[in-house]
Amino acid sequence: MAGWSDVLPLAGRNLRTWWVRYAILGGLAGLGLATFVVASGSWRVVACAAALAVEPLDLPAAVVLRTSAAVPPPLLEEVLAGPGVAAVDFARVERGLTVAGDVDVWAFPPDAAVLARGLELVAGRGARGPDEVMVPLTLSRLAGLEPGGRLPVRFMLPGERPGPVRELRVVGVFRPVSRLLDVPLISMAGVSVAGQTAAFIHVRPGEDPDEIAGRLRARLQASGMQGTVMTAATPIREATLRSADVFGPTRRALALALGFVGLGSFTVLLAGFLDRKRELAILKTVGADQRVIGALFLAEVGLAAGLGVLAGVAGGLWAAGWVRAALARPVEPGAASVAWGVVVTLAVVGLSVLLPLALARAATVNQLLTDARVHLVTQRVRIGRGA
Amino acid sequence: MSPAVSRLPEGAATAALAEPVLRAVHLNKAFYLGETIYAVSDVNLAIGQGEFVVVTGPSGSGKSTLLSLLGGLDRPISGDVILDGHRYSRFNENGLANLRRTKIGFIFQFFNLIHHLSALENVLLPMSFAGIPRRQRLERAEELLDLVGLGQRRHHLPLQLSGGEQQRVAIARALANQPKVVLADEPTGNLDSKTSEEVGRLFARFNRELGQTFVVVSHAEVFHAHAHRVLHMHDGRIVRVDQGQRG
Repeated sequence: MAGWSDVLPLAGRNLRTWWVRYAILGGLAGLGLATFVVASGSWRVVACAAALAVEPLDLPAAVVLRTSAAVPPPLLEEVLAGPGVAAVDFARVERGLTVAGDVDVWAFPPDAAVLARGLELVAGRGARGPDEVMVPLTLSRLAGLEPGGRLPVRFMLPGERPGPVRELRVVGVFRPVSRLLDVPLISMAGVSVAGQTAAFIHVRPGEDPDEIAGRLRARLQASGMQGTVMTAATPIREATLRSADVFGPTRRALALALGFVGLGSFTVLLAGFLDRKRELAILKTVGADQRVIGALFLAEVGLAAGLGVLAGVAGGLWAAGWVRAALARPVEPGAASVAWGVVVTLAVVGLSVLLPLALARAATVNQLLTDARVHLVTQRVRIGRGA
Repeated sequence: MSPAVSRLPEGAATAALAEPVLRAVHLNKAFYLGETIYAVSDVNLAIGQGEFVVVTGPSGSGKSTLLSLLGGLDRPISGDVILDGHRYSRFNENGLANLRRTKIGFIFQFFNLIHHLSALENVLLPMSFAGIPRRQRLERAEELLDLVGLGQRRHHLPLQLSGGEQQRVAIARALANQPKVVLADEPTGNLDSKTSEEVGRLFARFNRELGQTFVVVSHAEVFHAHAHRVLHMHDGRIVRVDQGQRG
């Protein structure tokens, strides 16, 4: 019986022969995956931003600066160890480990309008400082947390190990309107945009945030590093609004991309089957059984889609970087979203190969050679047994 | 001829004629084209090992349909085909593919080669499906192409070959797995008379030397000289059986 070592070279030859068709298939898979990577990379961040839809910031403390991810935390600490800085919070919107396990901890602007939109406060009050936290009702019940209690959290920067345990003070319990918000909320000045925010810098009341920002910029420049320092609430708000306006288009792009991949792949593969009926007939004539036909189809599609997926991952990551840099959109695809994209793309392509494959397997040689219609479900032919 | 293509012992072909290798039993095939048309109607047939049988008759008489049924390329509505003791009715598509792979070689009017594979690769194809080791199959394919006179053109694509050459590649491919039976459907229908003669001689040679059973559907008289029997078909039935010149 033929094995993969026999099928793969034949699949390779077929791939070269039908390269235009398979280039379209691989291109669709790649394009779809790239769109998926970009769209899903912005998904969580954008969802967060949309859920919190910021009103003009009402800052309870002078929490003003926001720095980019390009600034390493030790440098921040060094620069900001001077007067005027109340505290530095690193990437508070990143993933946190809490008593309830591995959950997201989100920052939100401590603003009454947000509370009114996104949450229903059931006990206590909203968080107002960097060490205060509001917990959702589910977590409150699960962990027995009530206002006045403590929630140990270890914050993590992307790709780094969790930091030391910090005890946040539980000041309120809320019932989320959206499942997106079913996580502990801490009070921050502005909404973090993942991948862009390295730290929030709390400036002492009465100090000049621009002066501190200037110090930081100068230090960055001297170190030959790139980074941005935002010094007012307005840019934070603008960034948030930009995030929000990406939310709808990315979701639609995701759906469209997957739709195109599915429909395109199906069309390409069905056309391929119809064009290659004679070739399939020849293969069956010389003894290719259904297993070989199936393996050949899957190998060809798998090779094309595999190349497309590689290109899609590379293209998606590049596009995400470009969107971040050129359009200042918060797109930060993680390994999980890339992996999901690969799985979903391959699944969509895999589904689209099922019908052509079933047709190829069900057809008799004569049906293929004579261009007869192939029926997947046929009446069993009555064959006499007499001899 | 090297051991890769095994030669039949002298006289064995004739001796084995009495033993049927291929049988059709009450074989029927009908198509519905506004009305039911029987392309093959109650055909009974026994073909001996090493026999050279020509099936002839006017267009639409059911020759090609009969050949398709004998080769398991299509299913009858009733009746059965028995090849080397194996009843087709007991096999699913995979089983029939296995039979075709190991026991039947096919040659068609339009050659039916895969255009993007070279002559050598076309001949290798059935052997790779049969799981023959790479080196052995390469050796056999080259030898078969030498036998049909295409040793020098083994790396040519079918479209770079003439019709006669393409048919010789198809013949080499049909013989690749040393099948018991070779079924040929109008193998000279697309060839000129000189090339047809060559193909006829090639068939006769393989029939004599390798002891393979040949069933050839053809209008051309070129095969009659090599046939043991000539079956005449009309309206899906075998209406007359003549002794061929070797019969």
